[in-house]
Amino acid sequence: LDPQNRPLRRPGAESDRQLVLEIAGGSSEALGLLYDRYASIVYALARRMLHQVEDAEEVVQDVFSQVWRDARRYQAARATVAGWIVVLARTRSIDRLRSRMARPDLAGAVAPETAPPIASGERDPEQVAMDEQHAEAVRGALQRLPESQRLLMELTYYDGLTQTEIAARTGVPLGTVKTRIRTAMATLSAALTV
Amino acid sequence: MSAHDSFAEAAAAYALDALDAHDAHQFEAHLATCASCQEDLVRYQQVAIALGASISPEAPSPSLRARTLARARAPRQAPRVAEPSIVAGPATGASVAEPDTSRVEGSRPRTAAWQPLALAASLALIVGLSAYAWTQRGAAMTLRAQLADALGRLQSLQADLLDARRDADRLTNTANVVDAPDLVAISLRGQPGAPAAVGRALVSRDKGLIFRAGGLPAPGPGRVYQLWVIPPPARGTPAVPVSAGILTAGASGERVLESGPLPAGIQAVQLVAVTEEPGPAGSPGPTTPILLLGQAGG
Repeated sequence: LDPQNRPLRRPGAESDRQLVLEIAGGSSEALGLLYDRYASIVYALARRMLHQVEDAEEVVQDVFSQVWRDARRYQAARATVAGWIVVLARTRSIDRLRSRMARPDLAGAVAPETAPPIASGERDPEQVAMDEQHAEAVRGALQRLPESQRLLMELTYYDGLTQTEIAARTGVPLGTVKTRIRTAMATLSAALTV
Repeated sequence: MSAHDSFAEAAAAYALDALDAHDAHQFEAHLATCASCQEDLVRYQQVAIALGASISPEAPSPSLRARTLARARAPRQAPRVAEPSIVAGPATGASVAEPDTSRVEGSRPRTAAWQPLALAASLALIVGLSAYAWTQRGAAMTLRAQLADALGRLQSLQADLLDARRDADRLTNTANVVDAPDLVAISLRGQPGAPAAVGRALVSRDKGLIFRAGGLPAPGPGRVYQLWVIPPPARGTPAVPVSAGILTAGASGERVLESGPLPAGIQAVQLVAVTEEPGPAGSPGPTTPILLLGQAGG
């Protein structure tokens, strides 16, 4: 896998990297274009992790504020723009999850059925400039994981739990949690290289 | 299982932000010296990104776009006038108006000086000059705004440069310590005053020390956390704690210290400890119970 060879962008559109350069130069129009490409991914991921609309909207605002502030520091060699934005979305969501854990808020405990599905349904390629093949590969591999591994991946990736917290919550021994997460990550990683 | 194997297991969890603070610190220290773990981490980070990207997109409320763009633009101080704005950002408008109104006031005498000429001239000339003056005034406003913008960006770039230099110095120091042949790692455990705290010190006699702690509560008002190194007791004399510096708050709430060479006279470190002391400079010797304590080889 060479992430540099996977430009996550729409054919014919201004490249993500070019937009980030323009944002670094102060173009709010470019920020708007980047928002149009990725807001629905950021929002969906934040909704999946936080459940509440208000919290997810806050994450969207946090992410694009950070893109605006840090565009000058973006380093293409480290990650694609899409990757950078996804990492920001998850990090900001985890921040909120962990502060919520520190200050439990019953209103946050929305029934899971109100959350969007993890990886199903149709995606609009005109709406989201993601590498469909790349995402599809990991989506399929996630579904093929043994149930015990997929559950742990969901607890850590989407619920933001640490390995220790997962062990405490599920009763699975910590060593087993570590092994299963590593095995699952290795399987998903292999799926990306195929 | 070798020590490296356990870190390889940690790489997957680290990419998912699923390690506890103590384990994350241990892994980061190992990561700096292990090419294999660095490669693993890149692969696992790609998985973490792909997992996020694989989620079914969901369009947020249409009104969120304007709110997001307005908020993103709000903190930036440098005004931009020449650029068409797609958001009516109140902060941007204010930042343009405030510095420039006063400066444009200063250009008025030029306009006023043309008045006698205007009085003697035809109406057409007055209208023409007024239009010209207005155009010049507008051009001056734009130029001044662009100048303010450029100055703002220059200041921002200078601040970035200072940050980058500080980061480079810090990283160089960190790399020197981590690469030191006499590196000793000391794990610190929370004591009764801070049972949830954990810490880790990387110590080299020549290159200095790096210290990182998590789980410490915020120090009391006017108080700071001070790091102490304690050499092995010399013959017949008790070991005396020597201050290694004041801990600063890191980006994620952890407490960190990256120092140059060890305090003068310290040849080896037996114990490392943290206490809370009066700020901002700390104390010559510990005055409160130890909160974190670790022993070399312990």
